[in-house]
Amino acid sequence: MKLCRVVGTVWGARQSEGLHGRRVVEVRPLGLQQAEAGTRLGADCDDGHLREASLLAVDPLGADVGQLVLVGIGSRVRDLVAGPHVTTKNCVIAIVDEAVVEDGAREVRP
Amino acid sequence: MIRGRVIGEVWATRKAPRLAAKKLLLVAEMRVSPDGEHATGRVVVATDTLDAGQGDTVVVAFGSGARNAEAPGSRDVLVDASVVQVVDGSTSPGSP
Amino acid sequence: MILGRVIGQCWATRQNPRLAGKKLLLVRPLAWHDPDHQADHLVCVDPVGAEVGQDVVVCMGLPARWALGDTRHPVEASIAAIVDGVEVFRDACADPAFAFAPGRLPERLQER
Repeated sequence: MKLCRVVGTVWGARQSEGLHGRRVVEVRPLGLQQAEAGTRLGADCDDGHLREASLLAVDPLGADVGQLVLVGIGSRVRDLVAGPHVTTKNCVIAIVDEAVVEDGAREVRP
Repeated sequence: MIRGRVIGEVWATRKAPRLAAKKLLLVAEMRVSPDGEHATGRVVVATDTLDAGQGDTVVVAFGSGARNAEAPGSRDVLVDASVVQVVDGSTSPGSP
Repeated sequence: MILGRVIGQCWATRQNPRLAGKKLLLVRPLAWHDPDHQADHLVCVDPVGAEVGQDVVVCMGLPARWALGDTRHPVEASIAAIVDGVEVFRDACADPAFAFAPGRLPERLQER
């Protein structure tokens, strides 16, 4: 699972059947390598924590642009959250109110 | 899933029997940022059932999601990347 | 799936019994790079019959195991197809980031 921020939605009329009626959001994962102890992450946190990469996920919860979400990646998660015939492995499984880095992520690195 | 752009097509006659797909596309991964769209340099071969064409922005799914696009619920299809949507629009900053 | 060129073959005597009799090919990814991957080559099982110098489509993960008949093979990449030709759309890849690395062009590449 990854903590990500929703940066936009994507739509298209030509899509595989497994995506019909599904909301597709573009998210960017948070990188916590530089986060100090006590950093609070929420919908209002600055973009400095976002990593360059972006990925697309099916969103059954209806997250808004800017919100922090938990994205699960894998077919088991997909089967439970969106159904077994959905054509992706990435699903939004929670809309995060707030996340706190308790210990400086820097020190936790191996 | 990733965002990509169709940059080419691959032709093959000799295929593994379980590779049922008829059309193979070359898709370059794209990243959008507020200053525009640019390629990340990663290029994948994806099967296509939606008849995506030259220059189309598409969504590519991997793994079991890609197999679901070819045959829902299947496990024995020899596909690990597939075009699942031809993008009409997007609200992500920087996307065309 | 990725596009690669067969650059060699490897053999092993002591190996997992399920790999016995399987042809193992060395493949260099062509127009592909993925920061997650440290190596510039892949070892693929070949159920199709590719030869050194040919361009191939390589399939990864679970479907790669299905290519050998069932999922119990300790394999993560297999050859899915032998490439006859590659066609790239000239306009779509005007961006230099799409350019194939020098010396890594598929042989039968055509522009359209």
